[in-house]
Amino acid sequence: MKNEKDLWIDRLMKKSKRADFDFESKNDVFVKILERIDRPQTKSNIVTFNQFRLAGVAAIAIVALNIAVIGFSKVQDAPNKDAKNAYELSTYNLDLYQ
Amino acid sequence: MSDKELLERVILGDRKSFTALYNKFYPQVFKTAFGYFNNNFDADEIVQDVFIEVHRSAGKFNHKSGLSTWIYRITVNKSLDKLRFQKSAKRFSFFSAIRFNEDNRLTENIADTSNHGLDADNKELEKIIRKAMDTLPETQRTAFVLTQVEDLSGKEAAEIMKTTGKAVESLIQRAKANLRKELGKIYDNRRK
Repeated sequence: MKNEKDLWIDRLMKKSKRADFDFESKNDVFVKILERIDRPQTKSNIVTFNQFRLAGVAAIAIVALNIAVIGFSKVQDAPNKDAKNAYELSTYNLDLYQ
Repeated sequence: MSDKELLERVILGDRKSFTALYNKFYPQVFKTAFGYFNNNFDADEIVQDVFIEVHRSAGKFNHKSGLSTWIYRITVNKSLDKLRFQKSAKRFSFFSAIRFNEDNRLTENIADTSNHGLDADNKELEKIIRKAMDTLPETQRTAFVLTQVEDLSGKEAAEIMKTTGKAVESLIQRAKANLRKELGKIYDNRRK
């Protein structure tokens, strides 16, 4: 004996094989198709999946590049900073003996 | 007139033949697309894209497979592309808020199609089916749509999917099992 849950699932499984289409928009869609065919071909302003994916990859690459540049500049600055600190420290020491 | 003759006339720019081709293949394209999206709005968009592709690529068709199989393949590819795009767009909330808020659009679309003979209960059930179908991998979903919604044989589905009949049978079994599992989860969540 099937329980309520199984019966509900059966009902939806049956419904997923839907067959009662009425094709009401058939003619309207055909008019749109003809309009698009007759329209001189221009580059679509609708973003395709591949363009969307490409934009995502480009965005990630830009962020990665920025992180790399910032990281590299920090590494480059580090010795200069140390030298500056050492200079300041040495002048401070000199001041102490004056 | 055979499919080959029909297509040859379409290539020559005969509008009447294109109309005949549309009338002949519209039901299969719409039903297949509907099987993927469970709403009229997206299915109509796929119908547009498929027939424009057929019109543009008619000259490239080599007749190695039947015209119907070729049109099924275009429909499956366009539907999968759109599904992938919708899934990607969903990941970017700012994008989905502007244009691709699928749940909102789905609700609006179903509301728009109230004259399609669907009562409120049916609309709710369609949303649930769509949610469960969304969890299926592409190949399982395609096998399920072609055999269960479009009512094609395993052999025909295999030809469209460029695989074997056995593989399609296996995909259908797994799709059914996964759908039942997913629907079971949805049922349990609704009961909480």
